Amino acid sequence: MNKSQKNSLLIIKIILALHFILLFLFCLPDGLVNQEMRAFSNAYANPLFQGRWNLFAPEPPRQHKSLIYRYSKTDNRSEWIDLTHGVKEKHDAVRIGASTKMYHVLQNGSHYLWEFYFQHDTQRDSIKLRNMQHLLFEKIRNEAGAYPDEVEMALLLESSPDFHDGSIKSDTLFFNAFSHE
Amino acid sequence: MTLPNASKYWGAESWIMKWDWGETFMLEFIYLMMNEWMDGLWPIVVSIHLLALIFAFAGKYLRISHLVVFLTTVWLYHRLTLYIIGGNLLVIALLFYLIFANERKSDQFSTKLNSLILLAIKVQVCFVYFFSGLWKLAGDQWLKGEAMHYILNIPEYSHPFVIEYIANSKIVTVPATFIALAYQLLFPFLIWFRIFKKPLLIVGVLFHLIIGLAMGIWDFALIMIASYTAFMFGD
Repeated sequence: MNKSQKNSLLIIKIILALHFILLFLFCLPDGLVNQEMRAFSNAYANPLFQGRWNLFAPEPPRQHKSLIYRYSKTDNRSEWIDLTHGVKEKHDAVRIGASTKMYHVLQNGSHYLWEFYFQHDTQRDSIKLRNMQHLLFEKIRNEAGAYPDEVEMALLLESSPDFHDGSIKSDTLFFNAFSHE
Repeated sequence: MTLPNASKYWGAESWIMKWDWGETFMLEFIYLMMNEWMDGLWPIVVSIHLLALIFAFAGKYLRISHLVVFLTTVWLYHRLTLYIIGGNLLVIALLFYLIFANERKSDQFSTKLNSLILLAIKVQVCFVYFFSGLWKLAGDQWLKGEAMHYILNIPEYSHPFVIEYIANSKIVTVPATFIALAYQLLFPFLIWFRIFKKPLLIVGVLFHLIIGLAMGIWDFALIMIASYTAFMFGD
């Protein structure tokens, strides 16, 4: 290797070391890194390296969220429909394929809507609500052939059985009806 | 897995809302497919992505094909930004490192550079496990051995058969919780020792196959298994 190649390798090693130091700071839980470092590492890691690898952590999810909706067009109102109806059945039958991806996308949307319900104070949270409204309008247009006049939606929550006594809690969160923009 | 529903993800009538991310040139570039004018172009982006993948697998024009695979992956994933999961993010990170690799060249500089890239990939995989374990230590359910019980009882992350016969069996879920936690915490440290490498990789493949089968999170499972190949080379 000539001198310039050795220098190039040294520079790449330094860049890689800095890269992983910043990712390390970015991934650390809050409280283990000061605010200045957090802001700096956030600016570096978002959006390309935004993985914090905290799926099911610090606590695992403890309730299932099912979104149901109904829509009205002219004077007709549909029955309540499960958002994942048809997709979940295929997902359960074949664990790898288009339905599995779609099922997780729809369920993620329901999860984000649940997050919005409890913490709708930032622009990103309002996107979670508007995204689900958009998804429902497009899904209904795709399946019914036209946009509905109005849509109502609700989240059905059902907890996993309690580890100790097996009890299950359920709840329903209702959202305001909305119309197409 | 996304191709049969591609138009619902990336098309003009996508089920996924667009919004303005363009605060800087870099963000505008990353979120390129959030632009209205990109609506009709997703088949071209997907085709270029597949073509670059073919070139990369064939070992042709490696630097360029790796770069094109990376860019098209970033554009396609970031159109679905609310739905990006850990597996997708890991793909982006690994593809980023691969841009700089060129395994077809065998001069001393390229060999050393390729070794560095391989090391970066290994460190990235160790980061995934280490932080997955570390975050879990901050909660109660993992340390009490209850986490798997709750996860496997949620239909989204489980299977009807698992919910019926396994999720409520403490003989299975308590050890499974501790094994998963221990594996994630120990992997980043033990994988560097030759004696532990093979058992860790075998257990890891089984672990991720179960995640794929039981939870249906195939993206993540397959990416993690694929990333293990980095540990099979370059000792």
